[in-house]
Amino acid sequence: MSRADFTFRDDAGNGLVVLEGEIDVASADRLLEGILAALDGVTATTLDLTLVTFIDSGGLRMIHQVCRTLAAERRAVVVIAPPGGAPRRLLELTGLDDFVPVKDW
Amino acid sequence: MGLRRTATTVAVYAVAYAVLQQWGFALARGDSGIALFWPPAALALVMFSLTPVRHWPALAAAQFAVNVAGNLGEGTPADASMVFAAANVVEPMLAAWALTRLRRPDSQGGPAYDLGTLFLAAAAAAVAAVIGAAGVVWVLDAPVTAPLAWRAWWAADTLAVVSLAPLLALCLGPFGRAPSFGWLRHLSGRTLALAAAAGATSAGVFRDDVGFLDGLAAVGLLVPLLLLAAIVGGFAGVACANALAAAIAAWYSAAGEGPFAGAATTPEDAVFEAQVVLGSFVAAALLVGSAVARVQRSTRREVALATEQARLQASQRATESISRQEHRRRLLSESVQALAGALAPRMRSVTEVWEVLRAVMPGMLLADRAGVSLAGVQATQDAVPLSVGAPSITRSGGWTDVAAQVRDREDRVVATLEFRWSDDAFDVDTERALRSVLTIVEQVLHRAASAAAEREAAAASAALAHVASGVAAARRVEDVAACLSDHRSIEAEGAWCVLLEPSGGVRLVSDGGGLPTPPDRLVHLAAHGQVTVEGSAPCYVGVPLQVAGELLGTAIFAFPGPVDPDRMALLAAVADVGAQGIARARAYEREHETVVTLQRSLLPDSLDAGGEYDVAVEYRPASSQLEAGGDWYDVIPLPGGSLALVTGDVVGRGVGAAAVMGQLRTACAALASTSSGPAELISRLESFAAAIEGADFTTMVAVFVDPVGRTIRYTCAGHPPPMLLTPGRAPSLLDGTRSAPLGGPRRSPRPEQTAPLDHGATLVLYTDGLVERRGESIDCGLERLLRAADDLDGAAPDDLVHALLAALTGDHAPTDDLVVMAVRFTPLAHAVFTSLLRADPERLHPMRHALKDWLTGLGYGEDRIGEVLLAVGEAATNAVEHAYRDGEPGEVQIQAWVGPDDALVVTVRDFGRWQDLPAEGLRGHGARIMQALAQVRTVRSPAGTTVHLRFSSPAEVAV
Repeated sequence: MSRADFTFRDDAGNGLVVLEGEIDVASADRLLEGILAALDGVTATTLDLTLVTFIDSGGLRMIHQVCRTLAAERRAVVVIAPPGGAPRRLLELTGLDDFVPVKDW
Repeated sequence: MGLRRTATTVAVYAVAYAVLQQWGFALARGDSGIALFWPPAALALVMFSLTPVRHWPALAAAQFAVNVAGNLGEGTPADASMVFAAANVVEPMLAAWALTRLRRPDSQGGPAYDLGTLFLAAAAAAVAAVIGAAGVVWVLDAPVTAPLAWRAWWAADTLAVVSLAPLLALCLGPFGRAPSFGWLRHLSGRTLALAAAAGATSAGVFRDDVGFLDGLAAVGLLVPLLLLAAIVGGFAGVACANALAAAIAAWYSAAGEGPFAGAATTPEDAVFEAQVVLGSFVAAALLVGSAVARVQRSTRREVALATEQARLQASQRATESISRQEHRRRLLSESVQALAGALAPRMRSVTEVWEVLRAVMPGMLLADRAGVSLAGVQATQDAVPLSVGAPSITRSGGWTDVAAQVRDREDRVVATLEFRWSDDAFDVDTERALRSVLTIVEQVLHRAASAAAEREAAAASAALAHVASGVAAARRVEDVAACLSDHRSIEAEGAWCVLLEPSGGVRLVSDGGGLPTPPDRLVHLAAHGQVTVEGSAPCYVGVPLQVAGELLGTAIFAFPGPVDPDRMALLAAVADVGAQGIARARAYEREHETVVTLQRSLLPDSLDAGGEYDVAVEYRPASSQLEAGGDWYDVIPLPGGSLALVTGDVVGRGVGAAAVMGQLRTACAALASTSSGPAELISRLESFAAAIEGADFTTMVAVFVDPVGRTIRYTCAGHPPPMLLTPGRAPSLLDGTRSAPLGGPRRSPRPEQTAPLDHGATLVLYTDGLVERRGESIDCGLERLLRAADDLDGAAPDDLVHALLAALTGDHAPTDDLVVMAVRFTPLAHAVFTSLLRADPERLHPMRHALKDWLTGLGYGEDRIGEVLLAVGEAATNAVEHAYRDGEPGEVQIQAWVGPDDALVVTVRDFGRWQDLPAEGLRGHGARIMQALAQVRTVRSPAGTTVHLRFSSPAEVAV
């Protein structure tokens, strides 16, 4: 049983990755591989963290990794983390929100 | 005797013999040619008698030669001459030999001796006359019969010997000695006159032209004259008279004159008659003279003896007198010496000197009476004898009285020394001895007086020193008062100290000494700062205790009698010392209060730490004001729920030490929360202390307690080790980490030890005042501490502290500052979350959920739980990822509890070794996240790493 997972939907080249569960060091690497594989050929991506119940620095590192990879390929990426949620707090806490385009919804 | 003198003597003899021989030839008479009077025979007899036998041959030879030559000169044939000479030589030798036989060395002489001498001389002449006559008759063939020739020879020689030999004997000394005529001077005028009279009578009788003395009867006139000469002039007188009378008679007889010439039939008969009569007279006179001389000699001897005896007696009397005098002098001298001897050891006090004098003087100086009378003034103490006046000597009624007055400095008579002698017993020597005695008495009195003065001064200074040293050691006002009241040192009978209290009251510190307390009036007066003297027996003296014009109180002393000025001065000095002591003691007391107040203000007010542990502490400042201050203790909550327990002891005492302590304690508390362990804490505090004057050599112990991990880490810097009491086990000392005090010499890093902390264990920290005792090794104190704690392992900290204090210090006031602190760690029960997980990332999720449930149970909100889970997750992730990179995955322990301040404390602990620290940048986000969410403290040790996370209470967050 996986405590963290994601769903992918391709909407005319706009990919939507919805993450859920608890993203920690144990699940980050697996998620990173799965997400990058799913986004192959997608030009614009939205990473939705709204359903993430726990994320730590390992998860954050994974998010940052995804964003950096897409940016290097000139593909657009945006992270949705609603204010008040754990992911948004962590992003702000670490200052990563300066490097990653974060949107409220 | 030299040959030269012998020869000279012999030659002189020869010459004298020749001269007398010529005289003899001139007196020859008659047909025989034989001399009527032969003087040489007398000389020869005397000479040989006086000459030792060994010189006789020389004398004889010389005489023989002179005689032969003389006879030859007279025309005598050679053979006859030699016979005559032989006869003349034989005669004196024979006589002299016989006389030496007759005379005994011890003979006193006497009539028999005198007669014997005459007889021997005559006998020797008789023998010689045989030879001479033979020569005359047969060799010379003279016309004379042999008997006539013999008669003529014998008579001539004998008459010459009898009449001349005594005179010659007086003149001639022993052989070799020149003749002496000194005896002539001793002849008296009467003797000389009688001798002259005898000579004149002889001339008158034998000269024919003096008519009125003709006739044989006139010859008889010579008898009384010669006898008178003998009686008056003795031997010398008769010798002179005889020689003169005989020589003159012989002279005129030889010339054929004189009474006998007419009376006799033949010239030979006439001569012989004359010779016999003259010889008889002369011999008789000689015997008388000799007897008289003997009598005179014996009389002289007797007189001399008597004189000598008288002289001896006189000298004996003189000696006796002298020795009596000497004896007396000796007695006097002994008497003086006895006095000096008796006084010498008593020179310490004038009173003793008087006593000795009274005891000794009555028998002194052979006096009939002697003594000392003291004047009334002597009774007062200030009468110091200074001089002994000249003695006044009065004689009356057969007594000599002597009095000498002893006067003091003011010329008052202190005493009188009196002596009485009977008049004849007081002489120059007595007076001299008396003056010696007076000198000695004066000196002794003088020295005794000065010795007493010196002793008093020495006693005063000793008393002052005694009080001063006591006062110097006194710390409390009561101690100073006790020193002042030590009346023995100032020879008081009692002493009290009246102190003015700062509040305005009067306090009497009574010593008593058996005496009633001083009168109220005196206390009242004393309280007003006046020197007061009241009463006489006892005499109370109150001396104000004043320092710089401030009246502190009064010292009151009681003496049995009046007090002299010297003692008053001493009391003033004592009071001065005491006043300063009291002022100092009050200052000490004030400082003590200050120090204790400061010290207490600088120490933690309350160590109530909530439910995790119970703490009890007792701080006892040293009772002595000089010793208080400098000890401290603290319990410092550390982030993550740990505790730092500290006790320390700053070197030095007083306000300064307390101030240093305050700084160190503050610094220590501040540094503790950011120190990884006790060793680091002390090292950092040491750096801080280096800048604080007076902080060097501070000793301290620091214990870091991890109540959750149930471990303690500790180190001791020059401080006695803490004690750990574990229920069911013997107390133990946390030893093995001793190092130098702060700022002390140190080579290696401070050691640090870890020990497990069981549930319910109690740590006891203390300062050396608890265990140290003077003159005892600290190990004994530690031993005592362990013994005292032996059955106290279950006691509550409060009880434990008091039990230890009672056991180790008893009821005594501590001489040093003293801190005892006991901290008992209570079991935490449900109030703790514990999770032990394998170092596997997969295990993090279940741990988070368990923690979340626990936190939810505590009533934490979701956001807050999220933060905690995030921070703890980060710490746990680090532990999982880094602690066991080299080998088999170990375990990670997570504990969480709510601290006394409602803060949540979580520890994440691993037991591995971190090879690499989390990198900066992205991988450093974990640390930043933790720090953003909690107070983080990471403690690394060889045993592993513990991360303490402390989350502020909701209340704090709300603020």
